Amino acid sequence: MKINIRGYITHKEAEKYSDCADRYAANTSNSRFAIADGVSKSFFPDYWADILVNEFVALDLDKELSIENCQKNWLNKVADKVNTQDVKWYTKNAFIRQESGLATFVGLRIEDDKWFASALGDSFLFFVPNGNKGFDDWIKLSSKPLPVLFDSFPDYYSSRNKQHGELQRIEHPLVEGTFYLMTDALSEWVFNKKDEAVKEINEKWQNQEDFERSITELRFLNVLNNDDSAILIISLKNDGRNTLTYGDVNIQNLIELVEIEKVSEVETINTKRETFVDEVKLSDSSIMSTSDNFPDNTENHETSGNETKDEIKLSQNAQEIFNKCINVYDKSLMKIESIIRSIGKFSRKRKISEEEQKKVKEKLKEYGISFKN
Amino acid sequence: MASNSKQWSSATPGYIIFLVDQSGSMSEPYPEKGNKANFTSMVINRTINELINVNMAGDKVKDRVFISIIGYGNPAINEIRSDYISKYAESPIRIETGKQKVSDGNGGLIEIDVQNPIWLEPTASQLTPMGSALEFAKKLVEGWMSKKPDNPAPVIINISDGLPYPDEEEQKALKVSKEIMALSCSDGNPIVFNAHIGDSNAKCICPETVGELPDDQAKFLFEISSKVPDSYIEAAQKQALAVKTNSKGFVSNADPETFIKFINFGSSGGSDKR
Repeated sequence: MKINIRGYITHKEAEKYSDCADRYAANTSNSRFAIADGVSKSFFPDYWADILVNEFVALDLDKELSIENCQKNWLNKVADKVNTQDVKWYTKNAFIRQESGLATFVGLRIEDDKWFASALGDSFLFFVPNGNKGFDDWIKLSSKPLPVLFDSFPDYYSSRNKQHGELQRIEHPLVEGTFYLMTDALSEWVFNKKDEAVKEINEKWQNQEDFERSITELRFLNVLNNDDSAILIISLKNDGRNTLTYGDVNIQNLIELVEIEKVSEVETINTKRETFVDEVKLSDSSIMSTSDNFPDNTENHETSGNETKDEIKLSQNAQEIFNKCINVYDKSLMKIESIIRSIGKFSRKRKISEEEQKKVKEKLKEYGISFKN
Repeated sequence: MASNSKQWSSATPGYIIFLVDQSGSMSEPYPEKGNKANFTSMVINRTINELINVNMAGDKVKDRVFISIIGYGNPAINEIRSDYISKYAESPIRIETGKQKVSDGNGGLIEIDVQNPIWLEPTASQLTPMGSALEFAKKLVEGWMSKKPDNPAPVIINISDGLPYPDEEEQKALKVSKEIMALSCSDGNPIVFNAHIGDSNAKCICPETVGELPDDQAKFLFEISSKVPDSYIEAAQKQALAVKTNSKGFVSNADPETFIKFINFGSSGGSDKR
């Protein structure tokens, strides 16, 4: 059997790759594959998901994942982080409160003429056999009870406590077809769109850029939840041999995406600054008359000094113009940031020379845009 | 999609306005923390801390909510702070060391030292311009929604010990609160919740009718409260609050623990939904 693998991953809208708590891993030497979705409101869920998938694919043959070992690794890694000098007060508090990381999980192992899979939570494995007659012919695995309802309460592995829910296991003979291992947002989309979704995956998702473009469109169309999204696509084709051989293995490395993001990250002056509060304070005279103690406007609205009403009005107008400028400046910075991200992606694909990248950066520096090293 | 059901996210952050009564009567004694002003500050600080916890995934706080703290009393209307949640996390006014009980892993509890950040200091003097405060909050809500029409509907949580003063502030509060509830964005109407720190023992939690209320202050605050949206039921259950079909987002004379639960509930609807 010949195996080809593709793997793609991305973050929630308006977040970064470094915020993504989905993880996957594949090991072609022992034919083990795994995907995990770190629960974003838990403690260091990215570390937990990362440890689960990597521990699973590193195991020999039919060895079981030791959650205890995974928990020790997670605790060591988090303790290292908490023991750094610049640890945040909220990180330290959560560590003292013994908060845990949570993650859903799917593991797949192919051995000889069989495959074995296990799942906990709402990440899914779908196996779509070649020549199938539709969704009912697919093999589906998660620990979600039927009928499948996607909600905020999936089963999970905990980095400190007992797992929530029961691990589901299946095994089947190896036949031609494709495995799709995916986290919950994509799983829900596949459940809703069935063959249409698989068609889109097979025909459109040939690389990370295709995947991201598709995800953006699906989110825009409101058919895909705005969540971290990861997928491993493992296709099996009978090549007449009794052994497993690997053809194309094209799995997007998340760390690589994070590194590119760091290089292209623009240091902006508080791009998230919201100007509406200042605008409201300036625009409403009835509020102004009762609010001479707004912290950052005291100077502008002092009525007991030598300033005349005209001067106050002028001062208010100036502040209004300033706010509008800040608005335009913020939008420009965001636009530039998006262009630079594109340059980062473009340079990765088209190999723009470092010299050329340097020139772009120098040009942008003239406009006060600097970069993190 | 049901009203008030949009989840907070970095792409579409929620907006919470805490309106804090800082009038003279807030210096009156209160069983918890000595007086009403101290208690209110403690509740707000604890709520923001909780919001940081639920929007934090380790060493980073995600900006899924923008918060304004508006005081009214002296000075008349004081915009204390307006920021994304990560900015609150980065820069509290100060951090106190406190004790907290946590599980010892063997069914018992142990007391540990934790750091308690402070963003709101207690203060209490002069009048109760609640109507003007709501008017300001309305402008903020309109400003936010004009820039972010597709975000979750904003939530205003007003904490007060009684009626607005001077008298015209009462009519203003009635009028403006209805205007706020009539505003709309793609997620529905903004929500106004009220928490009454009263002096009587007549406790009332999320009532359905005005007849259930003991005094004029409570009746007034009930009038200016929104009905609890159906989409908040899950969050209410999580806080063990008995919310009924027609309950309004209002508590009166609640014990401190219920009071804190109510504020957490009011401010967590968007983070508890999928």
